[in-house]
Amino acid sequence: MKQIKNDKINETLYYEKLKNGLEVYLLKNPEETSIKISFATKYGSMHNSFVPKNKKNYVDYPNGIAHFLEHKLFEMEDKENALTQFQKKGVYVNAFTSKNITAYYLVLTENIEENVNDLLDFVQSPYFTDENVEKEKGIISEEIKMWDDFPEEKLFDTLFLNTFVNHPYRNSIAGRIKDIKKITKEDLRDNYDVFYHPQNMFVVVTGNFDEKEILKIIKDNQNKKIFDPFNSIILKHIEEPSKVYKDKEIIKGNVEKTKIAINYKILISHLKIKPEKLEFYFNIILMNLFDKTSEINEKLKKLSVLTDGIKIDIDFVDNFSVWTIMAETEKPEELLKNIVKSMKNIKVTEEEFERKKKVLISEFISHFNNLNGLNQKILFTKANFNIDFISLFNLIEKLNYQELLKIIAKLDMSNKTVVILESKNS
Amino acid sequence: MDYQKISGQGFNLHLIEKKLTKRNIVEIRFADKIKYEDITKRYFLNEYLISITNNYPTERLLSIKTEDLYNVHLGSTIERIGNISLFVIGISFLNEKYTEKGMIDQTIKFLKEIVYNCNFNEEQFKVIKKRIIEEIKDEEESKKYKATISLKEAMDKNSPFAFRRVYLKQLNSLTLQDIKDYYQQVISESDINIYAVGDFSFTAFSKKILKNFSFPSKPKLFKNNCLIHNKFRLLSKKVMKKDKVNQSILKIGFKLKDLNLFEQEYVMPIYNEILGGGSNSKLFNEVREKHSLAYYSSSLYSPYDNVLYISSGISKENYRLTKKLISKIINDLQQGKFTEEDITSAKNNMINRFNMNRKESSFLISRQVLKQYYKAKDIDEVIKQIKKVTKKQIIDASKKIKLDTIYFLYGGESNETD
Repeated sequence: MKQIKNDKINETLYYEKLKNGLEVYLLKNPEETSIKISFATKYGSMHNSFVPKNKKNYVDYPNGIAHFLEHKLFEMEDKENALTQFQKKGVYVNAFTSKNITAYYLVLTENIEENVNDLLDFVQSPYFTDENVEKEKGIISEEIKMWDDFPEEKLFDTLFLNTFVNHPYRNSIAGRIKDIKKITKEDLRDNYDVFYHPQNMFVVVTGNFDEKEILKIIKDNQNKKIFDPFNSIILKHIEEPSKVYKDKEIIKGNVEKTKIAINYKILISHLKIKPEKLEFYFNIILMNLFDKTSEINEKLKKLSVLTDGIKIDIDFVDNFSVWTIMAETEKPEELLKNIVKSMKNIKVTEEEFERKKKVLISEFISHFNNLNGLNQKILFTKANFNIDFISLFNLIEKLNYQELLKIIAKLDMSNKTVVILESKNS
Repeated sequence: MDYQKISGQGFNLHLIEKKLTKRNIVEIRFADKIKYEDITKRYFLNEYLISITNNYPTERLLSIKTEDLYNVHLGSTIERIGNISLFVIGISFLNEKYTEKGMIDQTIKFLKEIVYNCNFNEEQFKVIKKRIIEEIKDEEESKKYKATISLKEAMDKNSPFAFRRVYLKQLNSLTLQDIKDYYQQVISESDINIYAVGDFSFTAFSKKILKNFSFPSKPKLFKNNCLIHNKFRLLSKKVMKKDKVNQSILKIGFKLKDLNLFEQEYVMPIYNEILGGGSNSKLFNEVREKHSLAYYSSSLYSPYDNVLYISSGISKENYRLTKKLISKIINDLQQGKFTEEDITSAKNNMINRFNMNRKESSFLISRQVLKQYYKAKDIDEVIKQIKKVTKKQIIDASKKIKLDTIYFLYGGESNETD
């Protein structure tokens, strides 16, 4: 077992890659009362065009299939649904699907061996029937309808559809009702066979446990199972143009307040800096431009353009970074004008840079306070950047002002899409 | 876990040890009996206090200060438990060993500035007022919130369980002077407790708090802190409301009659767990898994309000079927049609949740608050009592839930056509 230590924050991450390819990350906190264990695959809603096992050609599967598969893996042959089984034992179980990851997790306080085995087993024993696939369509349709009643979901769905031209990152995670109605048990099996191989999966455990004991449980479980040889995953290559799909769109919804969202689609390949490091620099830029400490935020509040804050988010998709900026406003055009102006002339002083670095350090260390959040951070750091979470601390410490200035000088901020969501009555 | 209670000037200090934590928490809680006429000014003051001070006269300068202190999280909220309203101001901050020497002192000084050196002025008053108006619009936008509050108001709009966070009518007549007066009232008439959770020396930390904080208030004892209902409907009330929603929301409210303390603390939570607590509950299994009618179908028990709610997001055309299923589940439970396995599973889930949360800072504070105002027991004692609950006790308690109101927020059909 490899140990990745950081003495400054007094934390150690244990890592091992098993014989079948499964990677295991363990981070313990003896002061916790429980354990969170996640079993994840590097497969999400954007991976739905690929060459299925034993086939030669690409197949396009319906949008939303990864999320559908997540629901269906809880089904067991000759046994009760895994959700029910864990719940009966008092173990918290759940799962989620994102654009690039699907994860199943437990939070438990006792019977570690039995529960860890049950988690690995239910995910690794798919059971799909025509009947149970049909049944799930009703449940997922209601889930989609529920999300449709959140105005921000509609705003973001449109925003990403308009950002990307071809890349499946543009599609919503759950798909639309018409997509999921097409899904068959054969589709699920094709997706499962390619993406749920141990070579494409990893386990993350956080909380109070003995690292040797838990690794042994996972190893023993995997050693008992036979897996087909792993064939590399052949995803359809997607040529994504630099330009956004659509510059601007105004949509209507059941909202009380107008909302505006902007995506900047920024080419980053020429920067020659790894995305995990870029993310910190980009965060500094965006926080400094728009959060409550910024001049523009203060000015826009005074002018009644803003009443609440500006939300920011950063994604990395192949050669691009996407910066999302979202706010509620009665004056969307004025807000847009101000945002565009700030983006054209990005400025960060050295003092601001040092202060934001303190914020990043504080946030990083604070993650270790919460086994749920920490577990998820380790998952996403692995899925997004293929590195371990603890190494990020050294990156933050080494961030430097001169490098930031060089990056800013090289950014092309001309490519953006804007979506405005207005009330149906306006 | 180590715990110590110390008397300060006008408040009690509760020190709770949380070893190896990276962030420490200090919360000041001003408790009083809830009053309808104070709702909005209480909420207003709570937001105002953390917005600006005399030394940090703009929101921007105040935010910059929080970042200089290694990103102190400053927050405020109003909580309600039964008849008690808690006005909370709190900070969480990184353990000093990860920052710089002297950071704790600076952080406590900052909290002191927030509590005692508020900058009340007309300009900021307008800013906060506008922000609250926007928050009211947010509530209108959230259909789930709207359905929940409408159900409660339909049940009994004069009872504290149905009070909103804030009322536009009260907001419109509020003045800056009202807020200043109310500030004086809060610091001089509340029951005040300071909770500190973290990895620190009790002696050194308590000295810092006792030196910096004092209030003109005296600790208070409250009576009748639980909501007790006197009116029960013989025929349930039905409210159907059309709205612009893709998914219809069914909410059912029950009032609980004559529960004894044991039932309230230990039996009803188990009943609720069996009914709609999680993915092995009757509601989840019947409404979602067997009939594929919903994505969520669950129940919520509010012990100190003596109420229980059921929620489900469904398609409009499934209203009758869902209602019928729920009614059958309630009747079955009253007739004892559930197994020992159901009970064990419910108990396991509750115990597991307690064990999962027992070292969480917010949980540690909330348990102390419940002990103080509701004589709640230590977690180990609660678990011991839960284990003792029998099937007969659950059946008896299930007969004390009285259907009050069925609320249905329905829309047109989904925007999608198949």
